[in-house]
Amino acid sequence: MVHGLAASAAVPRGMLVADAWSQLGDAVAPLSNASGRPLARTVKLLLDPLVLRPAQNPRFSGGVVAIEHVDALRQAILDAGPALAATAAWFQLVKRARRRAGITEGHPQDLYFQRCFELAHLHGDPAPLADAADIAAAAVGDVHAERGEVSVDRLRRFLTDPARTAELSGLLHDAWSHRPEAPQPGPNPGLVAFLDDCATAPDPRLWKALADTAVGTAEAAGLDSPGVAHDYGLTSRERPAAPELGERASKRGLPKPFDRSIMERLFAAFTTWFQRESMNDIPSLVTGEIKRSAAPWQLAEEPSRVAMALGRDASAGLGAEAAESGTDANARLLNRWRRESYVHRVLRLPDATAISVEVRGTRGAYLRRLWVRLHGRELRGEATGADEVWDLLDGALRSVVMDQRDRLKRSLEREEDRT
Amino acid sequence: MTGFAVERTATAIRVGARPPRPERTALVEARGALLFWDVLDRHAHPAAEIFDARAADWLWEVYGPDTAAAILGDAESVATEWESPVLDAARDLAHLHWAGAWWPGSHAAAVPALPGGLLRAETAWRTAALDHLLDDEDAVERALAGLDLGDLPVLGTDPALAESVATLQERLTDLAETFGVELHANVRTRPEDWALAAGGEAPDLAVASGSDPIDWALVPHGLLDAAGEATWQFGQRSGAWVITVTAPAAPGAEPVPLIGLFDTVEIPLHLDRGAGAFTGEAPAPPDFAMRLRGQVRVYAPRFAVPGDSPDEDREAIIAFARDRLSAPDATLTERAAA
Repeated sequence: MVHGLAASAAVPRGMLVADAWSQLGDAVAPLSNASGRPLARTVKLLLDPLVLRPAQNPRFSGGVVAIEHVDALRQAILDAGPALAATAAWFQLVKRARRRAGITEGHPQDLYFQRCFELAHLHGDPAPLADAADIAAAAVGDVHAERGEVSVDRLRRFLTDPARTAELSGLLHDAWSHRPEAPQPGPNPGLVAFLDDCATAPDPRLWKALADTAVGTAEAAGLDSPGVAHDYGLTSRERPAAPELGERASKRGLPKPFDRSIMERLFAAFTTWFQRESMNDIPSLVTGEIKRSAAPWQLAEEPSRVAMALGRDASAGLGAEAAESGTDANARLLNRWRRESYVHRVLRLPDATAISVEVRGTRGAYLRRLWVRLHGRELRGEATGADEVWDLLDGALRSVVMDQRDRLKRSLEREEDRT
Repeated sequence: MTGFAVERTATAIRVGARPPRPERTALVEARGALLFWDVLDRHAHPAAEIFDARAADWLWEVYGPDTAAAILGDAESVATEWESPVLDAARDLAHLHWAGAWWPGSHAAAVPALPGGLLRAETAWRTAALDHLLDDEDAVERALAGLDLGDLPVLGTDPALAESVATLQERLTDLAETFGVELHANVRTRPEDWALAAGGEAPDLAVASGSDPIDWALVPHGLLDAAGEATWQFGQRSGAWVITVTAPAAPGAEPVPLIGLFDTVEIPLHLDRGAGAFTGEAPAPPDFAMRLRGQVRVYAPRFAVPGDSPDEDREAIIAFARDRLSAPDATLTERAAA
């Protein structure tokens, strides 16, 4: 299938992976899509971190692979063939066990792919095992029990326990009364330079320097001035105020990020992400969240704050009638936004201006989405590398835009239902 | 062999050109690029706008590795004969997206409506075949979430089709399990056909009348007959001056309220299933007789704002749709509609 290898000195990595993958045959079909390619999550959760490991094997990283490493990459996948085939077989059994247990929460690929890879290494191919179904059922039970540990119920009990409320309120009060005075930011050429290159050639040294010199913290200084955080869409208040501890939360009608209670902040992360095993226990989650709420951008880690400052600058002009772009990242986000109105016409969706979809509020929705994602990464202890920043900035806009599109489609259906 | 000119701008690499009009455009939103097919100028390979070459690392799947390298390099024109299941799936998905938006159902032109449930099901299946190169990371989940297996047509009369639908249903059930989406399977009850007493009869005495083609972009898909024209009549009823507007309904149209706009007069239209048309009547303002040179436009409120009427290739598109019903590469949805 791979043609013209000799013609160039490098080959698209995806093509090599597809080629090697197709040699693994039907055994890996449960991990493949209908075109016979590995599923996006097969690459993200299995091939990259567990087979190719580009961090350890830089020769396998990037979009193209040098011609001299082509055979090695192919061989790495073929060598993993039996393990991947067993992983696929375990995934089928695990899906069946999940169905039998009546479990519907979470994404099966996110939840079980790596667990199935472990099972493949522990037990090999499940086919000859008499107790394979039991092992699969136990694995499913295990995954969901781990997640049950840090449950919304336990969070609510902890936060509303009368024996603790005074202490937690005291912590919250202390955190908010001792907020450090943020230095006034000067113009920072580092943010502009990073935004200019982050989509094409992100500079890890610059990314580290921005965090090391607390540029994100400095850029948060204006947030306490009247109207600033409000205009970014992060609060409905004139200026941010200390959150409540909170007693309840529901997925619908969550307030804007800075207006969320401690309960709501943690609740939102619990229901959105499914890797609770990487989260702390409840008491440290709650005290951590209390401290975080009083921190610059209401985020705990400097890289997250830098990312908010980058997102703020990259999203300038989003949703406005006409906007001139500044940095390259800003131009790319504005282009995505312009492309979207073209796509609306091609898909014959309602004109957003003809119905009550908040187009002008797009930048606020964008910064809220970005904040929520950064907050979730902090809770899961995920570090953000320089080369992930653009995907984060762009992904938040894509997610906002797709939600708007869904609302437009639903408005069409509602129109039919109303009559 | 498909050939394209390649042009590089500050923000994109353009391979060929976008189709000239939305209703001709079959689109796939891939990671880092848009892929376009023109339904009236059909080629195996799509035109493209690549706005993020780093993200478009799948380009070889659609054009072949050599052509992809030339596009990302400095070629000013490229040609390709590449064939692959991924290219086929992308072309099908683009076509299904087009059909969902612009399929010109028409009594007048004898183009049946497509079965909507089957269209969504087939779209979800083709979406899943491209999960590795779509822009939206949750495209498969999104497509599955909009599905209702209860909406799949029962095709007792054609065993081959019925079997294809059953296979599709089986695949989607498995797919839903792999992606953690709970499929709905409600048997939907369709509202009975009823006739609305919505007026719209001709005035007692018409002094002027006319008709204008319907602007597809002003109404949601599947409401108005794609080949139809909106007609208006100005006259007297019981001594009062009125304007009446009628627009033929598409096969299977839902009773969504529309508006006929003649000059500045808005005439609310309702579906009259008995008449197979959206009709309505409004009092004409005193000076209306002076404004009869205008044209009537029909639009859906909260969907579009009427602007300039564009030229559409409606006849060619209707002919294309009619051909599709018996095309050798027709989708399952089209075969089921025929």
